[in-house]
Amino acid sequence: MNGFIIIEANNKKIKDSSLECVYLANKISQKVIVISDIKDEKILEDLPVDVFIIIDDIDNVYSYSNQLLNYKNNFFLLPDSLRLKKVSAKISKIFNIPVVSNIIDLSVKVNTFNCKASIFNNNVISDIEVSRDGCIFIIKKYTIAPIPKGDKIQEFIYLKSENTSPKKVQVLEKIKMNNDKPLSEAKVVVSAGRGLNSSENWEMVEKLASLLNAATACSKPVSDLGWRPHSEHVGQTGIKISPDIYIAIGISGAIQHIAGVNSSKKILVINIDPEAPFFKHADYGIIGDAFEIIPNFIKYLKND
Amino acid sequence: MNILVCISCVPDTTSKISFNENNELDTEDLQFIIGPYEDYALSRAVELKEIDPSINVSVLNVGVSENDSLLRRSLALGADNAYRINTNPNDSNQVSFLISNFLKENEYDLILMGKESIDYNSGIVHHLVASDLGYSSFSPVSSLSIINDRLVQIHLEKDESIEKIQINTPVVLGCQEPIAEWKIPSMRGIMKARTKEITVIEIESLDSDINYKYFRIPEKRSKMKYFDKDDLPKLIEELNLLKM
Repeated sequence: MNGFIIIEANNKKIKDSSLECVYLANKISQKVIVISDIKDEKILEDLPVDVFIIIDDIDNVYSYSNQLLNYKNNFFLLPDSLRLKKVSAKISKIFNIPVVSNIIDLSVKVNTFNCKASIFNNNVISDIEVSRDGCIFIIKKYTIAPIPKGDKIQEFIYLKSENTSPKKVQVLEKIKMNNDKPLSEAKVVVSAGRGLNSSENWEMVEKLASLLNAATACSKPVSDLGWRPHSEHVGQTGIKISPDIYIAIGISGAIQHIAGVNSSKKILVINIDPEAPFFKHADYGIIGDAFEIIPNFIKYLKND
Repeated sequence: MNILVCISCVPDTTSKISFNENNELDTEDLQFIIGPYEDYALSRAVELKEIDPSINVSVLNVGVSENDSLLRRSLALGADNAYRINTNPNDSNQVSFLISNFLKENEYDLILMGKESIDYNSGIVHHLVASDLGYSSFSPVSSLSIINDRLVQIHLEKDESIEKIQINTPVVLGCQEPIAEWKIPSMRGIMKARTKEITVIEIESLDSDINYKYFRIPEKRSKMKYFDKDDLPKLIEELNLLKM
């Protein structure tokens, strides 16, 4: 069976979450086939991929249904992104195959897929068997190690849209986030809570984040108070993230907050209250006053 | 306008999840709630009905009879009708299939769901239902207003931006805060809900190709390492923060 991967780029770079899917496919698929609307071959040529199927617009994947249906008995690996979740439903319709989300591991046998999914907000791992000749797997971020390109001879196939369905959506306004780094893609996230007392004190959080090439985030009370935009709220009812390092400043660690960040690789908690529940879920902890520690943190990072 | 709110019934956010030896969710000490995202969706639907009383709000759950108390709560919050498709669904593809079949029989302009259920966290049911029916779908949606019977305006969150867009109905939306404030049923609402009926839809049992064979609780993080506030350089080195 062949693995199809849909990949995305950001600023002319393949997103890490897409790279992970390409690496995984190399481990489990005979041929590695990428479907993408990235048309710049230079961005693609270093990838360990056998075939690139290039289409105009991945959101409009229906327009390539007949040509894609020529490829049978296949499975799909999609990185976990808002955009590609919607695409997954369209592919599910085209091929009449199911979608399974939150995959952290996958192996393939004839007409059987064995995978692991992280569910219940990362509190449970389930072993899942899919008995089908095709399935779409949405791969959770940063869980599979890189694989080098090797000696693959790449082939590029350009598909022509079968019809141009009109766009029914009318975009009235686009509000850019002031975040330079999208939270979902950041390797480091600096997050702060009500312990910072007021929105003016976020200057030091932003400074620390910029030194660490990190995205900024906040707890629910902070976004409810209007100190920070809702788009920065991580937790049960906000965004769920899984960066390499999550730094929580002045966040007590309510269970709903933990649910949004507990798949971070390393968690550093800075809190003045030694009883803060977040310390129980952290890898590293500093007990102390954020207003003393953060400026020091910035000082040390700048010195080197 | 007819609005359908699809709700999941899930363990309370503070619950300790465990599985018994039969590989089933241990429900003994669990409190079930309407999924927090669906709770936002339902609250917004009720708000829209308060603005325009001609709007009809129905609630649908795919699930077991224990969920009726939460459907009753939805009625108490202000929904007009409640439906339950009587089955213990295996996965999100099945749930989507059943909701989609329901929508083929019953016409709705606006179908609201949460952006994801907080048990299996799939976050794809809205898109699967929409792609099956040829409707459009958007998620996560943080603001929703009705322009007229066939047009709604939403705020759609994307990775790098929020888009304010207008779309024609029928449309399926995955909701999240701050689309509305959670509501608590009023005494009057609770009394009124007592006489409302929950329509139970019986279906033939469904096969699934997706088998959740085994559940386990992942290992806890290893013991936390405390650093003194004067040891910041050591911590910076340990986490390799200068290379970021």
